[in-house]
Amino acid sequence: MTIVELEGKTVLVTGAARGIGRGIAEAFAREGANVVVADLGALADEAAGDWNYALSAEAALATAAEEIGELGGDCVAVAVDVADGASCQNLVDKALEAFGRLDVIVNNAGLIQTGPLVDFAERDWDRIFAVNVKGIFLLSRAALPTMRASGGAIINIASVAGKRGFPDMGAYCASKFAAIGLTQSMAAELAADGIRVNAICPGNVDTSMWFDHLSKSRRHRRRFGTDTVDATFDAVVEANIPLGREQKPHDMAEAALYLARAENVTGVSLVVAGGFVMN
Amino acid sequence: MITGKSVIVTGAARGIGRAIAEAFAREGANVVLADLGALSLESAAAWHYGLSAQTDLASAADDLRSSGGSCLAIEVDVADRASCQRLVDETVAAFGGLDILVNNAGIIRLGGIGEMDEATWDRIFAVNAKGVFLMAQAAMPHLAAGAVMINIASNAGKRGSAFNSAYCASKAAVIGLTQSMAAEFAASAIRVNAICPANVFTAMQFDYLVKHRLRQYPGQSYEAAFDAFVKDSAPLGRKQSPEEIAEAALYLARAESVTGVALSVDGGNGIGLS
Repeated sequence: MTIVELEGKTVLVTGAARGIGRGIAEAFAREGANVVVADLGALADEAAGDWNYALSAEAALATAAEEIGELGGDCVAVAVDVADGASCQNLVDKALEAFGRLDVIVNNAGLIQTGPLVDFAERDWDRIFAVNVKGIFLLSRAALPTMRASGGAIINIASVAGKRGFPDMGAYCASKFAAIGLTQSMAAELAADGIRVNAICPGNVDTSMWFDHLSKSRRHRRRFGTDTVDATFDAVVEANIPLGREQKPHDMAEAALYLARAENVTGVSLVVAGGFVMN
Repeated sequence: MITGKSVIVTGAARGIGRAIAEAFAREGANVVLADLGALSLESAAAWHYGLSAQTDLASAADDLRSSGGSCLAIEVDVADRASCQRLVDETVAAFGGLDILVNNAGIIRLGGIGEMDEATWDRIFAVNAKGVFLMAQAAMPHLAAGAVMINIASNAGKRGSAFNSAYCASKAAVIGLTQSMAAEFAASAIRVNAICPANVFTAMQFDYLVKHRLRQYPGQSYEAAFDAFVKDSAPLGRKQSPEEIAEAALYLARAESVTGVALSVDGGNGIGLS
């Protein structure tokens, strides 16, 4: 059985200061990989200071890197705004400077704004697409000259919202559909270079995106009549997830480890959502 | 955690099923290798390519045992309700329960819709689709929270192709059944998923399908014709090994928040199929 050895490999995870990205970074670190933990860090105020909920800040990135560094391989933290091409190039340069190679990229950084499309702000639409979709393009493009030489794996964190539409979520759903389309195109295009490209589609994960935004959203409050974010999240999970419990970052991390090692899998979007969406 | 689990793999005498059985045994499971065995003489004697025989099942189990695996060989015709019941009963008697069921047994025959005889259609559906239902029904009373079912479907279940209607329809049925069982059993914390290989060089290929490929790739050996076909049909350009399908099965057995998916392990052959 061919099990791709991750020890000594370099894995770069965006949005890694917390939530799903952090869970994935931790899992690769435990496997002995050297991990580049990338997130907004000090760029948070400048890049998205007035977003509708707090994105991860400088302290979260530093703490994540410190704690992940104790799990296995080496770890460095790099501040990145994935919507900025120069910032992505800088991230790749820093990764190579630290570890000399780049084997796995996990495009996990993402943000959300919900609300009816009729008065949805164009600025919010643009930012969602800039981070959730163009960010994958920009970072992958920056990494390709290096990855083409040795092959590797790219894993994009999409969503069940990339498989079906939901009310009040037009921008986010469209961006995640786009992420899956991009995954399939990159998989077909980069196979000849020995680079596999796959997506993971989480369902309801207990991250800040849920607790700081979705649980407070108009749609969910109306639908469930709940008055605390915890109660709303629990009601959402009960309504959505046949297995009856939320997904955890470690569920996504296990999927990422599988896809990083599965040498004959490319172009898939693997749903890890407890049965919420099945195809 | 796979160690100590009781696992049934159907179609385990060779090919994908055998690799899955070996992978679970290597992880410390107690594995029942189920296949036609001596039943192949009666139930499949009329089939048009050689299905696994008694010696295949015995030697698969012997090989696995001699490499330290805990296993047992049991004969089954998955198209027969009583046979499925006996397989489950004997498994439970031997290993004290049933935790993981891998429905892998499958058969194929190509042919135009106009020419396909009804008996061929029926047999393909009896094994590939109804076999999953019968095994699931026999297994259900023993499956507790945390149990897992993995059905080996195919990319042919996500996309039809000419002269392969019965097989494609039967594999599409497996995916539909997988999703339905996933939804139905979720409340019992039993997960159900499918794996969709594209091109694995098993007996189904080298005893049968590749002979048709020789028309597309004349003047080549079976294996060379198969490799040429695979190169043309998947971006990664190489066949899947049975071991690669087994890796997916181990992942799905452990992935506690994954149910109802049909995971393609196909070198990109099925990009764009859901």
